[in-house]
Amino acid sequence: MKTLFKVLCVLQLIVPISAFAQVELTTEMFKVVTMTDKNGKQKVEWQAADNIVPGDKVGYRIRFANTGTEPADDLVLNNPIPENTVYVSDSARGANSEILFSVNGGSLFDHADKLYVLKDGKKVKAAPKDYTNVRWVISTALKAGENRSVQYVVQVQ
Amino acid sequence: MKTNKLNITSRGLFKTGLSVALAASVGLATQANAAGTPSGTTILNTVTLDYSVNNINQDDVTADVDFLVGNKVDLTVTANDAAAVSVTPGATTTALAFEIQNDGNTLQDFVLSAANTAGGPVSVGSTSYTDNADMGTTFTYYLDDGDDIFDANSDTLITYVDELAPDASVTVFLVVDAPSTLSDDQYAGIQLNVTTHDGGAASSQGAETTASTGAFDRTVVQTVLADAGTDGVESTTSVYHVVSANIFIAKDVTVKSDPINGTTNPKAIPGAIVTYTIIVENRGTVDATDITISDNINAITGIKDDTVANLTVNYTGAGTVDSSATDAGLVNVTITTIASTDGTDGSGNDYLTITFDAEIE
Repeated sequence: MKTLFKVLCVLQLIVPISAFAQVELTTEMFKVVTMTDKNGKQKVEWQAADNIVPGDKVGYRIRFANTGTEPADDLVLNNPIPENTVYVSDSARGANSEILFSVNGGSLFDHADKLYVLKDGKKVKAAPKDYTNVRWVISTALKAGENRSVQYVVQVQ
Repeated sequence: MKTNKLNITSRGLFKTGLSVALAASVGLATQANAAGTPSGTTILNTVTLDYSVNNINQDDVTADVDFLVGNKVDLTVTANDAAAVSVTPGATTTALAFEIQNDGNTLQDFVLSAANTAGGPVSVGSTSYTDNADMGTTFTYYLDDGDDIFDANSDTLITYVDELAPDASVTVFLVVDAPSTLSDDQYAGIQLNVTTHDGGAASSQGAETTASTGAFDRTVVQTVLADAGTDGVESTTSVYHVVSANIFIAKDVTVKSDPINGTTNPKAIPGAIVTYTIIVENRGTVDATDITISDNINAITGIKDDTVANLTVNYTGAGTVDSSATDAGLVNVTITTIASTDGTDGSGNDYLTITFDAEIE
């Protein structure tokens, strides 16, 4: 009986990992263009890229879908800002998520207004260009069959 | 619970911590590069998802997307001369200086061509002139050796700028013949056109760089023409100022005496003596040299041959004057230099008078 219990425990541990690796992740990229309409109003469009050169903005949409049969909890997405790009201020979005940033390669994360960097020996508030990583801490479970997305924008240096 | 989440993920994050820290320093280095990230650089975005099922942490899931940074073609062409460059009619080695800067993010060749500008306003830098003359039509170009001074021997004759790196600039000299028919104080504008061609092969002029068309291919470097006219061609003008000695010459005649009235109100009758006065003035902007003034009196109908007398030259300038009148009635005056000093006032060191007498037939 004791042995059977042990076996069951092991099974319980193993089954979700091996049989139900259930969240699929995909990343898409877009060219983010600010358009001015005929009334002079500016609006931002995410377009299929035609070319991307320095100065252009690139939007990343990260989709995560639960293809398994169990809900997924404690979802945390981490995205280092790609080399040769800088984070565009206020561009990270994500429903039911807490968006955190790092300025030291992901050792520490915090809210944007609580991050500091050293500049000329002085501790100053971090600017968006100082961010090295974006993190989305998802607050609600991803149900079986559900899919969601988060996004952010960088500018190519 | 929240703290727990952060602890779980930070283990996974540490794996990328080092490479990201390095990335940050690379990012700082490229920020100094005004042209931006070099074309062909791969921008890789990697996202990692950490999650649990039934409170059991699962393997991280990652997803990548990457693309190549495109070629952003941009350039600046400026005239280096602060004002119009003086040129003498007939000169063949007077250069205009230009700077060509590669503002793009790719090594490029830049092909040079030039043309005379049309008449009318033309500028060099912020100084404006009125174009009213043309130089020759054969333009040659030299790559400066670094001293910003044109020297056909030490500078390199080129037809294009080879392999100019992003953010780099070169000084190029344009040389064109000045027709000998140009006259003092004319202005001739020249437009230099610089066309972007593909780089990458040293000492070989690449094909003209064109914008990529068609569907985006993340794995191929796409080209965008980002210069002012989005054509990969930039131009600027510079101006030649023709400086020449402008010799003014005029001749006048008065009656000095006649056989009846003597010197009192003399009349131009046969046997009268007339005084010719030739005035010469350099009204140009540079000194004139080796001036010869000739007057063949015997060719004048009504003037008796071989009667030239009292040849006098009044000149206060520094040149050496030589004057003679031959038996055949030829008056010759040579002066080594007539300075350009004070314009058109009919006096001073840029001015001289020649007088001589002759007899009416």
